[in-house]
Amino acid sequence: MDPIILSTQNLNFYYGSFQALYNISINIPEHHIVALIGPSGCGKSTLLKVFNRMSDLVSGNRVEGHVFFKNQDIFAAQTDIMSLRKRIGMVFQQPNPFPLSVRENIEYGPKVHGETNKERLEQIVHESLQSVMLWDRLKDSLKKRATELLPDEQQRICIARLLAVDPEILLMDEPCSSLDPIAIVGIEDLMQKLKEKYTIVIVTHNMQQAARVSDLAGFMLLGKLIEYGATAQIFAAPQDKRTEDYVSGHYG
Amino acid sequence: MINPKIEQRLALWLLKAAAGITVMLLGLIILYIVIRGVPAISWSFLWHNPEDMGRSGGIFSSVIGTFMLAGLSICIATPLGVGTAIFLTEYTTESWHTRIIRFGADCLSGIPSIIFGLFGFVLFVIVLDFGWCILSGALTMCFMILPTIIRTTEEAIKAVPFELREASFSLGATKWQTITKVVLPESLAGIITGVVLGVGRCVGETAVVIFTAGSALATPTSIFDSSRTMAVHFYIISREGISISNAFGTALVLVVCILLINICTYWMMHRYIRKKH
Repeated sequence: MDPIILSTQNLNFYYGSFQALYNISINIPEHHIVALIGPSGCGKSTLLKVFNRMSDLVSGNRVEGHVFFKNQDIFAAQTDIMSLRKRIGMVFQQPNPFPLSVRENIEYGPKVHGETNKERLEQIVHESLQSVMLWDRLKDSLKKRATELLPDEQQRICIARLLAVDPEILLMDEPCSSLDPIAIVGIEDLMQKLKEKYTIVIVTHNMQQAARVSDLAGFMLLGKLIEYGATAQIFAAPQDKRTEDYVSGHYG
Repeated sequence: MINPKIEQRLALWLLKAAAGITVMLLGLIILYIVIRGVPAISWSFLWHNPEDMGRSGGIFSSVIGTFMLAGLSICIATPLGVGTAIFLTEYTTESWHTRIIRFGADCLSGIPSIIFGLFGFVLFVIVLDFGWCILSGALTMCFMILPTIIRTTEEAIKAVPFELREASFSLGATKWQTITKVVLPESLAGIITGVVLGVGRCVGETAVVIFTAGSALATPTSIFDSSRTMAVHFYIISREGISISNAFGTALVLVVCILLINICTYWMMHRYIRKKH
């Protein structure tokens, strides 16, 4: 069994007086793809944002319980949030490249973390674009504005931008929701490739996608983690009636 | 009841007429100034100081005074205004504190310039004993243009999509890095617009300058010298009937300067944006 890289214990999360997550306890092993599924508003994206404390950006938020990243509580007072977000990166629903060139997008992260060596930056751009299979396509147009690329390429740029800061976990919040079916296949293949080096937690509305790409799946409903286990078991033999109803399409 | 199609056509014509009248008024003013001002323009008018209280000679000292005063005001007001706007939009959530600051800025923009002039006269000229000089004028002018720079910068910063900030934070960037590397470059066009509006106001202002910078005819050599800006020179020589022809010549140079400042600023801004992208 791979070691646990990220886990939560009795996690409760509040937006002001509204409780978004209830007693979530989950263990995420290294080099796995974990899918969080469930109907809209069930707390999947909130849980994802808690993992790298992007939830801090919402004013009035409150956390109870623990989130451990490599056995360190990320909500401990001494946690360096910038370093945490470097190690646990996030890809968003809508591709959001900076309105800069492809090269500048990739270099952004390393530069904010102090990398100034031109050769090293050059190497990072090369490796990151190669990891997302864009190097051959874009090597001669690195000065092109990233926002002018195709949506699928933009999302890959966002992933490459993330890989450039050398994270350990990739959080993906419905990364394919704005892409066409062919582009989705490309991103899913990319995830399988990235799994060898990174741990991936993906939030998806698309159950077929969760079944195709993930090793483990968690079904969430109304802020609670109803069931969590091997993807094959969650889809083929769910233990909870609510999970069964959801995966069989009775609601959601 | 009017037929909606006729109503729509009527509305379009009214809107076109409104836009046409606006452009026509601007054109008429410029045309009038050009026709009356061109005869006064000559090489010596541009490069010589006024003589005989402005009856003869040129406006060189006024041009220098105008640029020094406007330049100094902008140099002081821009960091203050942009800094305040960044603080309000990025470091505070909407509360009674921010509402008071915004309300204060809005009130400040509605105060007549002569009140600013009087305030600047008392504070800088008398109490702080700077005397009538470009520094007193620029500091007073700074108060006057600050609200414009703050509000336009605020709007420009607010227009930057939250997704870009989110992307920056998710890569481990600090708030300050996000502001300087993502937010400000993205909002530059809006910020420049506010600064250009401020320049326009500085260059065209008279009341504040008369009260705080004086109306000396000599070429200023430092910010502690008194100076007469082009707008003040125009006001004095036309109001006192000294030389209507030179007054229109001054007005023409003033209008051309404002146009050149706007064109140069926008050209530089577009060049920067093109280079960035």
